Amino acid sequence: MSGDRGADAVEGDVVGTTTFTARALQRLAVGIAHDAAHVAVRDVGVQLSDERGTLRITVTVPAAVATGAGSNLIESGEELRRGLIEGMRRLAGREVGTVDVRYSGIHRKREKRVR
Amino acid sequence: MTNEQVMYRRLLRRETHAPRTVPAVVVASIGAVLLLALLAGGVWWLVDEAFRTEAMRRIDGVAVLGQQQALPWGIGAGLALVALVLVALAVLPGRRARRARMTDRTALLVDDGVLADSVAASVARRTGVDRGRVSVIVGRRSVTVRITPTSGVPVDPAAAESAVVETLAGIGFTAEPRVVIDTNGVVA
Repeated sequence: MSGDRGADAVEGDVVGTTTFTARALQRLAVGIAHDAAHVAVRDVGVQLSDERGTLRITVTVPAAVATGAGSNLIESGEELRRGLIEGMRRLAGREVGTVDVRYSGIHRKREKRVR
Repeated sequence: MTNEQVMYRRLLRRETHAPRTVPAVVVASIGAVLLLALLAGGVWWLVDEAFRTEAMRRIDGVAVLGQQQALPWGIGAGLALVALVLVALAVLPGRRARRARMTDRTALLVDDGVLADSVAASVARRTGVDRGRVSVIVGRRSVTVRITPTSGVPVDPAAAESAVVETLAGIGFTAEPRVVIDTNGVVA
């Protein structure tokens, strides 16, 4: 567990700390990766580690291939990387230094008619 | 200077320096016992013929023992070591890890551990790092703060330095702050 964003008692500030557990950060990264990679949460694997003071995220996802989609895997990897960096900065205030994306398997997305 | 201030000064000096009472009493007691034994032996030697012969026999026995090389060397080395310790106790200042301060009406004595704890708490609050990841060593003239940062949250060394200086100034002490931030952080 870690203390984070503290404040001295000045000018009506309420003194206290906001803390994140490592587990909470990991779950948050899983959620972000799930949104950015368009795959199910159970298919996403995320490992957080430290790299000279910045956060390093190693994410393992299946490549989501939609029938008839135009984007290639490199582009979707870049999108996932950007999504993780932005999401972790916006939601948890963490600077992400490195994101390693590892594709394991293929996840086919079939377009179906909504009934 | 009033009487209280003289007393405070003495009191603070006694509290900030280690007492040499125990070694002084031990050395004085050993000296007194040896002198008394020598005096009693001398008087006995003068009045008792049998004691004289017995004592001469024993001294000869000791002289024979002393001809072996190892024994006198061992005793000499032991005595030299004791002498060295006593000289060190006499010469070294023997400062305790405490700090003293005096105002007109009060004498303030603060343990360095208490200072370190309050400095660590204020640095943790200012930099937003967990208290358990801030360690502080208070020396005579400098205060060393070591911070293990949270991964992805940069720590401002200047903020930590100013927290150290302000905390110490609040209690009325000064010291040179040294802030060390670990290269590797902790995922949290």
